[in-house]
Amino acid sequence: MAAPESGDGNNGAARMVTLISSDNTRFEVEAAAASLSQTLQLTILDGGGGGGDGIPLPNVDSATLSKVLEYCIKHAPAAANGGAPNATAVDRAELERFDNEFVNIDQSVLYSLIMAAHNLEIEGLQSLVAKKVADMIKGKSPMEIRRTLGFPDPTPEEQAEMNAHMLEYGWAYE
Amino acid sequence: MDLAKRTKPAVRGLPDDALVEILTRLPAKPLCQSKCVSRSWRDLIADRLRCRKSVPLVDPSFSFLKKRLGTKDILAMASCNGLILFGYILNSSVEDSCKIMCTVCNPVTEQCVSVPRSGWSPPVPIPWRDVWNEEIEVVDGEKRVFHYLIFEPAASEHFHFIQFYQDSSTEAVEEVHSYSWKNLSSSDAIRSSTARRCLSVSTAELGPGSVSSGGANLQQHGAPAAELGDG
Repeated sequence: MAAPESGDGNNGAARMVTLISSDNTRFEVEAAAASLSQTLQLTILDGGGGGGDGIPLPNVDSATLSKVLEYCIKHAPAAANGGAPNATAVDRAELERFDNEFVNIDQSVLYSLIMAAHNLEIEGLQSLVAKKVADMIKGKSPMEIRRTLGFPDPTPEEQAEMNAHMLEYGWAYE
Repeated sequence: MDLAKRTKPAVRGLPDDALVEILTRLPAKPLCQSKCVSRSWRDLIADRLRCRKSVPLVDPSFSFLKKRLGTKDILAMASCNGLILFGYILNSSVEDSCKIMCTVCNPVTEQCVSVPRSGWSPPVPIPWRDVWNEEIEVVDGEKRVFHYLIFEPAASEHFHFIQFYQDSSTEAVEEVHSYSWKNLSSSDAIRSSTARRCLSVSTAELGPGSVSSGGANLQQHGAPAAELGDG
């Protein structure tokens, strides 16, 4: 029983594209992986990014781009299967494990990832990082949220507003 | 290429779209708490989330209403077109437990307006909670009052308040009281309970079991048109 090869539809080598980060590092990846980005998909469909040209990404630095591509390469086979109806539970568990580990990162990296996921319109990654930040918010007081997410300490005026809100919305703090 | 580092990037600096992605993944309680993380978050949650992603921000315990009314004894009695009719008593001592007051509340905007007193009270005092508690044991001959609210802004700016006074066991309706009132300007006056005015009072006393749900046959009494003035 020959399982269909996922990822590259053509026989032999998959089509590759080159992405160029803001600091001029070149990344060569399979077109299927890069196409998880809605932004890149159009360019790639038009035949861009091949050969010596490369697609410049002035908003994404090399550290972030390599992280983003790590995600795309991991998720490309499942995405190519279109919702992966034949994906096994093991495959899904493996992706989940990967995702959990993937966002276990420093906040400044997380921030860069959020920005890149939005700029490149990578839906799965957008969800993943948003969920991560939402998990960071859950169970924290507003003050803890502020500290966690890098807000400066509140001014006395803001503090008063926070106190008033906590009084008014007691149910949310129970 | 200019790679000058500004302040260390942090989640707070995210654009609104990215923040909305995050905030819409929060359940009601943390979302509500997030409202006071910063002003921009508050505005984002109040406006965009509510409209675009329809995240309910309704306080499920109606604590804002309890606070405004100054009592914890509130019960939802009826609802109509998104407005909820609440009954409440100010303190639960025995002699006061019959003095039920009503308020109409919009749970989304948290606006509420008092229902003017009709001047009618049940011939036999009905203690608090007996009035609409379905679980309570039915005693023969015991009377209850059911309250209903009708508000159809497309048809009329009037609120209609209807009370059925009936026997708990036979469910025979002995009296129907209905009256309507209007807020001076519906948009902002629902917030202002001083702007209310009872415009008409109609009372009907009907024989047992002889009332239709529409209450079309209500007789108009000379009516002590419950003028409440500005309170």
